[in-house]
Amino acid sequence: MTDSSDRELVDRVLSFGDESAFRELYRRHSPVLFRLAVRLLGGSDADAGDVLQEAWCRAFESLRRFRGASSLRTWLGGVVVNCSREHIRARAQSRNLLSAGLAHPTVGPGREAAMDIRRALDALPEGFREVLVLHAVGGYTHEEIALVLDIAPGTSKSQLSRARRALRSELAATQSEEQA
Amino acid sequence: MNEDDGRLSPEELSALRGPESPPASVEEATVASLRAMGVLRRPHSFLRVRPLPGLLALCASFLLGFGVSVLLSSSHPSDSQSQFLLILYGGPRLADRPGAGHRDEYVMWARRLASRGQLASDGELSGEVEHLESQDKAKTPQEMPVGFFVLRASNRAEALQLSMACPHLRYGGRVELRPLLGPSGS
Repeated sequence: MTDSSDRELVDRVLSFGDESAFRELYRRHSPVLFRLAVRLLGGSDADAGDVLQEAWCRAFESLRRFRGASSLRTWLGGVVVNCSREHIRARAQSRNLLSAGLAHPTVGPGREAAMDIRRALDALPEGFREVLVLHAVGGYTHEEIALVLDIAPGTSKSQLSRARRALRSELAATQSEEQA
Repeated sequence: MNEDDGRLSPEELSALRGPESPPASVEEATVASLRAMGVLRRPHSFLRVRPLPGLLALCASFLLGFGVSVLLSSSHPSDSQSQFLLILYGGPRLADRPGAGHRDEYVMWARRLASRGQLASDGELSGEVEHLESQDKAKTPQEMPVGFFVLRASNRAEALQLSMACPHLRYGGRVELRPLLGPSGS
């Protein structure tokens, strides 16, 4: 089954409810989609799992309309981005209502570079974070990012460049705070 | 990220990429949800999948409630859990705007609860109401509830936390959380 194309597997799921075909698709794409969700959501594995589950459900609600204009991987990436945005909005609203942190994934005060860069990523504006995560974590090309985010490839390139600079600034600020 | 344009170093890229794969429980929860939606059938089943009735049932569920009723059969409530009635007032009427963005948020929220066994029932209430009141009762205008969810939670605090994330609160609605009494609610 590992030699089957995404299209063939999708057709088997839609035509026959083939669970093994779905599991093959899931295992083929979920590692990258999960990493995307983790970084877009600020490092919470539990929230990322919820988003991943929701993304697959939404995908199969609308896959019959998928015409293959982009690859399945690109299309699924777009679903994950949309689900993540909604999850972030819901989480922010919950925090406002509680007037305190509500199970917000926090990165500990560790001084390791891994913690620093994840914290710096979380501090970026949503648009920068999405382009950077899709490119650096998901390995998406600018053409694919353009399809996922509905922007021009050139915009993706400039956004990525600005996102990198912003990330570098955040990292420098974090390191200054730690040295102070 | 040592170049002028701020490219990430291999170490930084590795730190960003993080976990390799999602927990196995997510795959099983996803499969369970897709089975409940009628998308998947169990392996080695000799029963032919009939997608049309499944889709019709799903559509009916969306029209009647928030589209997650079909998932309730796959939830796994704990014996120690209590039930809480979450009543929705004001806000948008989902049936008025099929396909609207907020509708997806309700479905996403409720589906997540259902997959965790935290949703016992749900529904949207019709605007057609028959009022029956005691004759000597003073008449006071009352706000009409528009929908409800029956939540399963270990305690009131957990139920409250679940309620805080209800999308209805983001669209101008108000919610009321009340413990259900009786054999299944106490």
